[in-house]
Amino acid sequence: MRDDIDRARRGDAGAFDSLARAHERALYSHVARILGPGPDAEDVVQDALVSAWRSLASFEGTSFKAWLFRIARNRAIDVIRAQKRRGELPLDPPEDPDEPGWAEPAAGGPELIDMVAGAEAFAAVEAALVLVPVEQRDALLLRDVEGFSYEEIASITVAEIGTVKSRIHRARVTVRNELVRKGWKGSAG
Amino acid sequence: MSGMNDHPELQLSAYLDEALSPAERAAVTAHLDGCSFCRAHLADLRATSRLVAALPALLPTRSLVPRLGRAPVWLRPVRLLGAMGSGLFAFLFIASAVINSGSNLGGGETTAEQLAEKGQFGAAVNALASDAAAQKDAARSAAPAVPAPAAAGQAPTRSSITTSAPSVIGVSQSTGSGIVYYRGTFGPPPVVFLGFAAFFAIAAIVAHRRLRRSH
Repeated sequence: MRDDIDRARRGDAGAFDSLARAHERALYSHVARILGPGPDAEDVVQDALVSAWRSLASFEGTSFKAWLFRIARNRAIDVIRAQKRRGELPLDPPEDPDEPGWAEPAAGGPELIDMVAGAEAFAAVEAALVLVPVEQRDALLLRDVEGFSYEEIASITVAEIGTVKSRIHRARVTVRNELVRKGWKGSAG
Repeated sequence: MSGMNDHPELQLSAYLDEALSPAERAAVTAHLDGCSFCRAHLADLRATSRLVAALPALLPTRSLVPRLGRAPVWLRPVRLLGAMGSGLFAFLFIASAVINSGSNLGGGETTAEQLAEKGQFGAAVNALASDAAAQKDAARSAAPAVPAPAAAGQAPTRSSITTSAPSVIGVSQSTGSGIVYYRGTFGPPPVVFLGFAAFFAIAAIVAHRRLRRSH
């Protein structure tokens, strides 16, 4: 991987091609969960990869994956902001400084932890993620799906570590509360 | 650090992700040892995190990897010509559809006067020229004293002719009143123009997408 990055920085298109193919699906999956799946998300990833190739000389970080995600994620956020300016999307409410609420589970639902392998649970989680504000969803996906460290997420999203911690926690609580509202009693049963 | 009743909820996710400093982590661990409320919350957060992590990846419908290197030089002219050709043939399609639907009004027959009123002067001139030729033929055929037997059963003022004029498909006339019945079309069928418009549009779109994927 490092060898490919060095060769790509020297202008080797084949090396960049293999790097782009290695990250293409992860980038799309992330952007699609921010923008919604479809041509907009595909265009954002494609444009981000073209932009990465053009500005490869400026890459000085240690994580090429984090650098790519930063470019793609910033483009996706730009698209969302443009959609909000045009009134195509509702504005996110300002982040609540108070601790997020904790929904009380109903008795009799399945254990949340037992739902991990279920396709039904995946659909419920996807639906719950849509309800999470974009910046929080972005941070949660970067952490739980892509496995970035908090420091890397702070770099990708250009935010303070404390903000990243808060966004990830709030996003998790929102997803958990949505699942509980759908009848799951949670691990606390 | 917080007391037993001061739950460190906002730190639980960072605790789960091992993103706390050693001192913060030790304090949360100590709190969790004596707080079933926070242990339950931590378990729920862990389960939620696992659910999100286990989500299947969403897949694109096409390759998103750019084709590096310069696009072929002919791609931009193809895109331009495709767009222009598409627009031209779309216009011709609409024009021919409108003209042909207009010429078919009244059961497909239109008089030269009606054509002239609609601005189709070329077609009107063709129709009148056919009318004049037909009148000459009628005068020649009227010269013999005995009328042709075939015309006996027809109305005395009507005759029928056909013409080889390219835009006229059969002309019948009433020489007595000077009214010319005429059926005309504008070029090939409109669907041909539509086909060309679609072809050029597809060429423009393919060239555009190829250019977008290029460095």
